[in-house]
Amino acid sequence: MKWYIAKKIVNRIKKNLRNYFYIILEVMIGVLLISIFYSVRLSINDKYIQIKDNAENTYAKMMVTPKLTDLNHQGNTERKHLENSVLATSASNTIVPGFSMDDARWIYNKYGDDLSLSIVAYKRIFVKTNDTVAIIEELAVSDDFYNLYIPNRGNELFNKIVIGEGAKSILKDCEFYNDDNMGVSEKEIDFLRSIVLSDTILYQDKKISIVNSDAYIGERIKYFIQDNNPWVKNFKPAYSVIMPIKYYSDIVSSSGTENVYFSIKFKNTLFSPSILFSIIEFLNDEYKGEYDYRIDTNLDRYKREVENIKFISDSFIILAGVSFIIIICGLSGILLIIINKRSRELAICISMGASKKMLFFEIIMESLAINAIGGISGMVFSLFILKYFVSFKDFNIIFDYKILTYITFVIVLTGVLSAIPATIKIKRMTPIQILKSL
Amino acid sequence: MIKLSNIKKIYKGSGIETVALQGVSMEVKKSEFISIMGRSGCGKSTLLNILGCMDSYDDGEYIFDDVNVKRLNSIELARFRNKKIGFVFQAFNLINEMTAFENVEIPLGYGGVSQKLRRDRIHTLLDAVGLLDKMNSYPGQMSGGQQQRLAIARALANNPEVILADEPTGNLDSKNGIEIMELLCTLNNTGTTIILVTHDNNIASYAKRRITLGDGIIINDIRSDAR
Repeated sequence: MKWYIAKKIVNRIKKNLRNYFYIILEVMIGVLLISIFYSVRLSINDKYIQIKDNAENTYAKMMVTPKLTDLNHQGNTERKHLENSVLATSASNTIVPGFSMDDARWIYNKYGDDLSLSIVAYKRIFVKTNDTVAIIEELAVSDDFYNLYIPNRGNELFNKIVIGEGAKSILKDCEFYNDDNMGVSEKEIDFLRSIVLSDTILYQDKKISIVNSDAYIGERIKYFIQDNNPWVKNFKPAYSVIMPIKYYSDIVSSSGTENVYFSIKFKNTLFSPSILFSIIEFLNDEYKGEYDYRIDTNLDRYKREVENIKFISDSFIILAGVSFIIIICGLSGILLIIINKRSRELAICISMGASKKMLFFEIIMESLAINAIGGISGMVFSLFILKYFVSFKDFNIIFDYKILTYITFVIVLTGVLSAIPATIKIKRMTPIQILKSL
Repeated sequence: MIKLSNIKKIYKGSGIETVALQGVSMEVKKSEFISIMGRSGCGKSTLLNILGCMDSYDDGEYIFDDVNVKRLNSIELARFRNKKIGFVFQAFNLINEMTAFENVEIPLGYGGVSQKLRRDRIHTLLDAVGLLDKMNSYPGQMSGGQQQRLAIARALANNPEVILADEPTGNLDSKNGIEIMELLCTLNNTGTTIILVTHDNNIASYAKRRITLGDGIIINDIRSDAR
């Protein structure tokens, strides 16, 4: 009997192809839209995950915020208004406390195998000692120092290093760690020493003067870095964490810094939040909870982009859902009209020995068959469109074969749901009345 | 074969009750040819529909081949109707979108007959009613007489024990009407029970037993020689 019903459905669709055309077209367009929207959604989701992974795994900055209750000097008074601000990058005149060279040693001893540590001081450093303000413009001390910083200075620009007397005296007292204990090469250390201790340095056989900056007090002198310098562009702090240095504040009563960091790089392992949290735990113990440490990842930088993507992605899912509802409404409406037109035929079938359950089955199968024709055509078209026509920003949108499962589910669900009004109609049908009225 | 005992049927609608049958009892033996007559609204079509398991009854008992019809569920009832009963309607009730072949195929298909047996049976039936050459024609391409013959072929598809015919000649001219009645007589002679509803005395005269209904009860049940 099922084969007879199948044959009957095939014959009916063949004979009424023109009438069914619009239903098939509607299902096709619906599935096409769902398929495209779903593909876009999946691609967006992949992109979102990629961004999130990148953001979490490629960069992190540890930020230190003194608890406001402990602040009483001038710089921190200013910061009272900057709750949760990133002190290390603030332009105020106070050195950031909360991290020292001793802390760096602890980190090195504990995680030396996983991390390399270095000082990075770029853009301006304000160093203030009582009445003197020294400005060190763009001095960088890091393991990238030679590779990135010096060669790209350019001979014209890199002919003079300005360093304030105060800063010079401070830096003289600094400990410069060599390869053995801090992962900074001897060559870099020497270079830094020569800046601090000498009047001139030799770079690429060129004599570069180290100028006392007292004459430049209060002036913003830029010698080395502009934002468009290649090394800035190329500087990719992969798997690195940058921490503010407390070291200066131990010596200088009131001084300022901008972008002076202690840099931690993950050497052999992937970015590990657990190591960072362990360091934070150590720092909290060390400073008795005096500071708030938190890790800032690229996630913040990408936050807006991610939010936009999520919005677009959600919109596509809503569109796919709306398409799905439109298909069901449209199809069930058309099926209902067809059933109304076919009520005589159904009544005759009942008089010939068909049960209403058989007719339900027949209607649902017919609805499924129409959905399958429209759905498969829509899927083929969407495959074609996605392959050749759709591009969306920098998203690589591809036909994901997960969609096959999803669309099959949609076809079956729309087939069954859209047949429901028709089956209700059949259930309420009194064939004898219909046959009498003929 | 069929035993009706005190069958009652009341139609209820918007506070008004219409008594269609108020206690019909009758027995039908195998191979009988019965006509049911009566004025319009006397309940003859209701009786035929109850006999055909197309309508329910409110009281009484309907036994068909020792089966109490009221105890059958909807699926059993559909199967029962499919195997035991053939319908012939005044308006033919053929499906215009289906060919003659497909129309006759309906009861066979729902009866679960295999495709090969279906094909053979349809050929035999269409041959018997003289429509083999119209196998692929649609009802709209046939005359009234041909359509009714096709309807009879369809009614006979599952070799039912009884044919219920409701005014089978009502939409036909006299020549075609006679042809149809002769076809029914031939079927009756081969052992098929026929119960026919008509208001035409001439048509009723083909039956060997004539039942007259009036106000929902049998007022006359005469056995006589058919013409």
